[in-house]
Amino acid sequence: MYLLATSLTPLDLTRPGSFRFTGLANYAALGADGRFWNSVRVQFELSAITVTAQVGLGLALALLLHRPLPFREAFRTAFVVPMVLPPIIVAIVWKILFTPLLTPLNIVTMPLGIQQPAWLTDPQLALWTIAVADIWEWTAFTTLVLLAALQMMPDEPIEAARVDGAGAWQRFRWIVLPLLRPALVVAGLFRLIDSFKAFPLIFVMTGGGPGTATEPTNYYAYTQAFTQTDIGYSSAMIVVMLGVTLAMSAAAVRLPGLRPDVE
Amino acid sequence: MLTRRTFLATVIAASGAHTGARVPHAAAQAPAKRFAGTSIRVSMFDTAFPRGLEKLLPQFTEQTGIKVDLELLGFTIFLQRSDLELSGATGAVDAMTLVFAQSGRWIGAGWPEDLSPFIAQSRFDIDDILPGPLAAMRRGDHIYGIPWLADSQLMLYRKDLVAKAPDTFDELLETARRVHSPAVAGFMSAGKVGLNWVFPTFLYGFGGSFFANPPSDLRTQLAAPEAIQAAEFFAEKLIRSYGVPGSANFEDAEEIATMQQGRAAIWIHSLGQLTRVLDRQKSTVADKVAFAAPPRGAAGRFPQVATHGLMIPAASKKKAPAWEFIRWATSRETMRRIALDSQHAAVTRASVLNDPEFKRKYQLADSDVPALHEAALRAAGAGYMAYRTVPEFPAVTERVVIALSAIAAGQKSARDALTTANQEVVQVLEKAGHRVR
Repeated sequence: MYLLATSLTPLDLTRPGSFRFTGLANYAALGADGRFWNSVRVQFELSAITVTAQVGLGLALALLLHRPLPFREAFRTAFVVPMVLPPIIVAIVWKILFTPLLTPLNIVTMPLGIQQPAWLTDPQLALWTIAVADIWEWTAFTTLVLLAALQMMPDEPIEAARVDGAGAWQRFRWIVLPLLRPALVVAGLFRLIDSFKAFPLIFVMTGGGPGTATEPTNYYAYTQAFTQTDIGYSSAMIVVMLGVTLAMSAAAVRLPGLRPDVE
Repeated sequence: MLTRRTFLATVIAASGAHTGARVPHAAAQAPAKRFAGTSIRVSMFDTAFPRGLEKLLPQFTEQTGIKVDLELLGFTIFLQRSDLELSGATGAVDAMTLVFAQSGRWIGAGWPEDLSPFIAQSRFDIDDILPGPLAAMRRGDHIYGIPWLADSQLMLYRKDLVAKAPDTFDELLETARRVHSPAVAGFMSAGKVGLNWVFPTFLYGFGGSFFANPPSDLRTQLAAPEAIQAAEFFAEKLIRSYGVPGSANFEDAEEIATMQQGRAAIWIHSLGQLTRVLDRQKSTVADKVAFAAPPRGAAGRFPQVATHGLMIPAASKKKAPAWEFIRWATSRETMRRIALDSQHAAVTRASVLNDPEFKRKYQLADSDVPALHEAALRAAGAGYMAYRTVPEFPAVTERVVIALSAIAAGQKSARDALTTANQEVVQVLEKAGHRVR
């Protein structure tokens, strides 16, 4: 409620008396703010790239780890490591890896005469670079969720399909995938909501730059609130973000895909 | 002509009159003992000076009985916490760093306590503090902070690669072009925080400015031809062509590491940061560098200076013991001790700057660093740093840094980026109640 009330004021911490009602002025300003709309676009691009990759890779890894493999337990443990590291550590590690003159990858690339691009300050690459770090960090989550779903899956329908002569692809496409659908939706939804919080990676790796090429809405709101103490305007952005996140959650839990559609 | 020697002699003579009347050491301690058992909390961002203070704190506690809980934070985190602490007026912090770029905002908001009565009562030798740094913390007869750091902008260059320090912008560009290679970049551009610290040297050197006549006339000048020319030279020609790849995104620590590894030939930054390249344990080029003044443009040479002080938040409930701490921390004895024991050349007292032992210590890398430092401080006395005391400057500089970063990345032309920045800055200033059109 306080956030909502603040978003209706021009509250600035350096200006006493600025907590006064000005209606929807902040929201009107948001509508005309090109930087805000750019931040929305960045947010959706980043979410689309990371969630798609994490669900796709997570599914592939879960299917792999579901099979009897040597050192399977060791692999499973190793996959979890990125997820349990503090996000700020992940960000620092990736920032060093993507800094051309400082990266340890130079040991390999320099003797070969390969010059690395400026990953984090090239407007075409910066967002993808953050996406790579995010995918590395969180694919383990989707893998674990999908692996658990695979292990809970009843064997009978698959065996029945096998007896009926279905090949491996057909069994996956028509039996496994539909049974996995609720887990896929849940994993994707969790990642989608969480992708709105990719703050540490952006804060450490690019600071929203170059220009505003990697500045999603939460980072823009942060700069308004903490470098300019423009709390009112920042609150309006957060309220909009909150609304979008709640709407997505509400829509997602009503998705028909939450029930397996295999009879 | 006023030479450095006569300038310092004048300053010292002026302070000497006061020093003669200084309260004797023992007598000064006696009233302070009334604070025995008091604890105060002090917050500063982490540099050599507060680290030096940390080491000397037991002596302060022994002299005054005041226990100090000194919190040292990274610069960005310090700024965030300070804003919340000061705007919330919690009184949890009794003394803290007054940051130069925030001084206009903070003093304008009434957050620091006026120290003038404390200065008068304790007969603090304020005249020994260099007038340039003090000006940023003074409003008329009121003083809101005691400067402990007066950092100047210098240029560090690899003397094994660059025979003669470039003196003009054109020479800088030519030198960077000549030495640039995949292994060693021609120029180390300052990163996210530093762009707003190095760009003004070029902006003013090309004859441009941020505002028409700050702080009274804040009409923005970022779309002027001189500003566009400066941005084009700095971000497009220098950083984009010869800068360390990815450095527009660096924090200070990464810039220092890059220089220490010998990956760049020329670096313009503050004295406090540049001296880190001389650390023989970490630097591979400690013996291969020299210092010079930052280059000049057609309109002249505009080395930037930054000063940070110690202030008492108005909400503090322990102002008297907090003042005792500030008085001790910025005293001649403490400042001299820290300068001699660690790498803190950017002192604010004329007496320390002119101390023979200090001068001997800071003849660094065959360069007369105290002379270069003082020349920068004196140049800034002309008043071109006034833009930094505008309360809205942090918001203005954020827009400018975004524009520079977009130019350096090839996303936008200098004209487009600065025209957009100018429009945004006008909105920021108008929102704050200024008439800028």
